[in-house]
Amino acid sequence: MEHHEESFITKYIFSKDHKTIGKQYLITGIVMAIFGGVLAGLFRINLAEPGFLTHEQYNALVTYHGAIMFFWVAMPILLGGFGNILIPLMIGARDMAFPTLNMISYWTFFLSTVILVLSMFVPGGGFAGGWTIYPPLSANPQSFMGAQLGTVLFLLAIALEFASMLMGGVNFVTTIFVMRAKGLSFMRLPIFIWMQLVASALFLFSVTPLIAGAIMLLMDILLGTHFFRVEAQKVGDPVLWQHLFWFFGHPEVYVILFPALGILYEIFTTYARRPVFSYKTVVYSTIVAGVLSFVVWAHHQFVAGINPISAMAFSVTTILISIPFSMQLVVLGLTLAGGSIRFTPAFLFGVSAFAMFIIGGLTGLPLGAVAADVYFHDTYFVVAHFHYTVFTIAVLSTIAGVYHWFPKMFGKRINDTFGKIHAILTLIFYNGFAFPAFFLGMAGHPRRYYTALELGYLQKYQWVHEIMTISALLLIITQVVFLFVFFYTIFAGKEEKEPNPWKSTTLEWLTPSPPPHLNWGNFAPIVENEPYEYAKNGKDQDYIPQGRLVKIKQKEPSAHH
Amino acid sequence: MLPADISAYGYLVDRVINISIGGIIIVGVISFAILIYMLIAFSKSKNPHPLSEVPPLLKKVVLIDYVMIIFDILLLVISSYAWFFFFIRPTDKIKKEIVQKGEDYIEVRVIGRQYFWTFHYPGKDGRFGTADDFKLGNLMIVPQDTNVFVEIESKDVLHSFFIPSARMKYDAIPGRKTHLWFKLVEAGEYEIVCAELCGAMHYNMKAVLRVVPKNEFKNWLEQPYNFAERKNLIQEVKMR
Repeated sequence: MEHHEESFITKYIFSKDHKTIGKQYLITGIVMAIFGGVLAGLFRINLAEPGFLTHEQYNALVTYHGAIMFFWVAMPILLGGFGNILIPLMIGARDMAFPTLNMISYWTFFLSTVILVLSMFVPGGGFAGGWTIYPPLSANPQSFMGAQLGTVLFLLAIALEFASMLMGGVNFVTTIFVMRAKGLSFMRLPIFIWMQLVASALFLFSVTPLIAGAIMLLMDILLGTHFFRVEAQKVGDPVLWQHLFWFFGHPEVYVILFPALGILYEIFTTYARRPVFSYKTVVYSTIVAGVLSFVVWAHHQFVAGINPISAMAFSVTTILISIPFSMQLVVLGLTLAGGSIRFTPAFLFGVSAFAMFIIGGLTGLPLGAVAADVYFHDTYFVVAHFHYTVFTIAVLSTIAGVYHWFPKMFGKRINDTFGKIHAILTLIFYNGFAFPAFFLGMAGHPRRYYTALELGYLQKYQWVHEIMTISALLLIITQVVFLFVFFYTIFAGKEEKEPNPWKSTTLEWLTPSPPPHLNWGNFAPIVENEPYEYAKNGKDQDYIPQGRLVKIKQKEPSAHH
Repeated sequence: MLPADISAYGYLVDRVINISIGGIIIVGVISFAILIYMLIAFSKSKNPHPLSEVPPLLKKVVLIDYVMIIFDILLLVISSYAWFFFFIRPTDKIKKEIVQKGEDYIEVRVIGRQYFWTFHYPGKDGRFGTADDFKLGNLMIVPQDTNVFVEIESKDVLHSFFIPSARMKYDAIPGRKTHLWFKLVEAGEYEIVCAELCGAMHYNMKAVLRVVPKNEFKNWLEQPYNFAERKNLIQEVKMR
């Protein structure tokens, strides 16, 4: 391939290089994370000092915060960002299977981001019916504050985001299946790649019913159909939407959970200098949990009018799914056993994420037990539970990944001392706002309340809201500082030219940082070992890389088929 | 932390809550202890080179998986029992049992609207659709030690009828009728709230639950509030 000079536009904007696309996803996601965090800060101020926002603003901010953190932060960073950057590097490919589709995927996502942000400021205000978009509230314009345009744009933004992630999913699965380096069998894949593969498959299988549902909902709003709306003689079924939404929604939780766990496996092995405690357990339990995730959705609807016998069945599957996850967490934890742990910023974030997953996972049990859920359903206990899982996924694990792969991505290194302070402050402030929510939930505090002061039995807990708000604001300030350090380091940080600063085994550490276009130059990686050959205690080093680079004889092959 | 239980059967829910929370606290504390031990014992300063084998004692940590399986089964059994008791048994059967035991029951229809609750009573004759039916706004009066069968519906969007003090909750769904059954034993005033986002004033959709002695309820049924009084009452409740 001749070395044609790339213009600024094809190199940095409409790039087909998986690394550039990955960075675009990553940076868009991080900026949206700060945006979604600021929205949360605003409505948290209202919870401490009611009257700060109007009722409509409060509901809209709660709605956008949830949607942004799921669809514009967790998914683009974990799949679009880390998936794009790392899949080809870790499997020894030169690019994604479909580079053009990859570029279209990012720009579709970018368009969805623009539409989402715009939808907050259109006449009538942004959509305020909760990120789960339950009809009839979302479908009946007259029942809902007249935010019709905002609602339509919100749904459009979500549809575009799904379209973008679908393109990504197709690309990920194909790339992992056909573009692995020589010697890289499936049972030698780094766990991060397994996690991306299962996550992409879950997304591809689960998203279709929701897209159908979204079209039906749009028709209800715009054409006056009655799929979900109920009017006098025309009886739609609001519960149908809940089935369509959660049939997607529960696998979706694992779509973001698996890549986050994948990051933790890479980090735990690298910094503890130990192989994964049981590789096969991880692979099989991930697949089992992925399959089970398709039959647990109605645990979001125990008291929403479904047949009580099927509610009991869903309770059984929900409790059942905790077993593969408890196996995963035990394996992840025991990866530290016998290790020689380096307390780097990435590890501190990783181990915080692990500890918080324990809390998040365990607190799922009272919610999955159907009789306890009668009380806990739609209370702050649920809020606390999913912040211990989703915040851990979308923030703690992703920041761990950012610190870990930053040298590879940018050839620079974030200041270690800053990173350690960042990790400790994040953990403290996060627990300061999330943990008290368990107590509010126990006290019977319903979710999505503008204020608790209207209810006699909750007035005495106002101080808890104040603590939560202060912690949340401090947490946001910490992350804003991180955002500045992140960009400062990209442009003016300390150079890190060592290709493998953490002495890690997987293939991405063989190539220079940042990797050249097409990743491997005149070399090609071949794989000779298992992915995590640590604790080898050789003369020079305690690890054996998964593969090595061999010089290729013929001309550099093209990634563009 | 839980509000005081005023119902006869709320303890079934509380039992599931207590066992599940107690169990996860035990497992959580053990897990955290092991994690902290490993972070200290296997830090680079304590252990400069990684061991080639996992210490045998730590391998036993996988027992947590078996503990979790046993705990899950226990939880499912007690949870399913409570769920069966409240929701799976057909209402007719429950009513028959109640009559056999010599207990009383009343029926109330609850209607949710943005943003208030209406409670329909069958009146003295105990039958809906007769002349003595009457309704209350944002106030539910029920007799003490009497089984209450509630039929819930919604006239606009989704709501959720939630009585924290009785551990009972069910969604109000337009186009459907849903059911709850409970028996309250403590006289007094409690709160009913909406637990499903229903619009801007969701947080303000609340009603008063007044549990009164049986004879007081009976006297009241003889002479329920006339319209003017009811209106004042609604005002009074709203002012709270």
